[in-house]
Amino acid sequence: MNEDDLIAYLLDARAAGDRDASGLAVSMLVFGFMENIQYRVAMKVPPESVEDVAKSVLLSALASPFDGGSVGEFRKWVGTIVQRRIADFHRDPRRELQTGPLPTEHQGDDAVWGDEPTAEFEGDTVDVRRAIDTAYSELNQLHQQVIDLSIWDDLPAGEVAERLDVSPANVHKITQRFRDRIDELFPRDGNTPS
Amino acid sequence: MADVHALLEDYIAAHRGGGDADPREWLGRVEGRDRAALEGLIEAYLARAPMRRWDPDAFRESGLAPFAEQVTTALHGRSGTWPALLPQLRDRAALRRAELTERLAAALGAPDKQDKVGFYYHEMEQGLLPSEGVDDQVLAALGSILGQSAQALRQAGRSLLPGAGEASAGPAQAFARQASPDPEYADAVGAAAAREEVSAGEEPDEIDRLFRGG
Repeated sequence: MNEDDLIAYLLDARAAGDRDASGLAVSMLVFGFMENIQYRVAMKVPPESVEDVAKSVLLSALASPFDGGSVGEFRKWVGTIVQRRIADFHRDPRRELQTGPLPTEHQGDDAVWGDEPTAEFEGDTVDVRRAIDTAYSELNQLHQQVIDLSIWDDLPAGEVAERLDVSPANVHKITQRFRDRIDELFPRDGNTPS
Repeated sequence: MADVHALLEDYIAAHRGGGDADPREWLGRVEGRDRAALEGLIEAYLARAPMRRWDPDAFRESGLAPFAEQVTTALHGRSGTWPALLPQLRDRAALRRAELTERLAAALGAPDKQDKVGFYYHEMEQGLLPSEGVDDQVLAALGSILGQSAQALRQAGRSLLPGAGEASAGPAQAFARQASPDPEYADAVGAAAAREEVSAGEEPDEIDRLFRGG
């Protein structure tokens, strides 16, 4: 069962008041995502606060309104909350734990939820993310699939070539061009992005 | 200029291999804009990485079960995310529940009502107390003990989907449901007496009003 199936199952179990079923789904989601979230938080937050922030991310994600029917929605939602809770951490000197939904989920109810946290502290991180997104969006669908399989899924070029009916040499070429484009958009030698 | 793409490959191989893949180890090998680039690439990978495969034994050993239980309690309760948040804050403040309720009762000007305050606080952690009935005075006092604002606690209490807790269990069931009684709840006898007092139809006092409204 993937995460969206689990979320759908959790929503059904919760609506039916089936606590045991909810508990199993929550356990699977907590186990499935906690390490990933901790790694992402650990890149931005001091070690002693990683666990607190990671738990607040998962708690927000599991307790917030979301559409369990959309493929990839929960993962996307987790990603948004990771960024927001890291921003909260850096913004709030009192280190208050945030567990509620994000303000954007409650338009018109800002008196209750407060301001959307800013992400100014992220600095270069935003630029890198933008560079990766831009480089990826410039590719056609086939080339995006090559990147998905060869970089993000870490498959050997031969296997990617076989799956997508392209040559291994092309896989290497597309992958290298993607990396070069990211380096152009986020130059690490101080040059202006082209 | 470091080869951040090779470092990313190395990181992904380690992560997919199932071993320890704390990104800080890889980030420690680069600095400046190289580090920012690697951080962004690792984040992009982790955002797409598959969910960890379910393993009941590993879950038991992970120490995540209590948190999952708290989240489940919150989802089925009437107190928003308090069932998960309050124990976390209490741990962070290194306070046993009995110590917290003693301080809370004192802060509410009712040091002689510690059992009843303890009962209500237990209900907050168990998701049994409707958060809208809890007075700001309680949240301000609790927040000052736990290092949170009353507003943050109020928000946490409100944050669940509409309809939460409609099928929730009563207090007695919640006490019985705890597979292993919380050893911190050392004043369980006092709390049980307070529960009987609350449910026996005694005239509500100021503490009842502060926690239940009205």
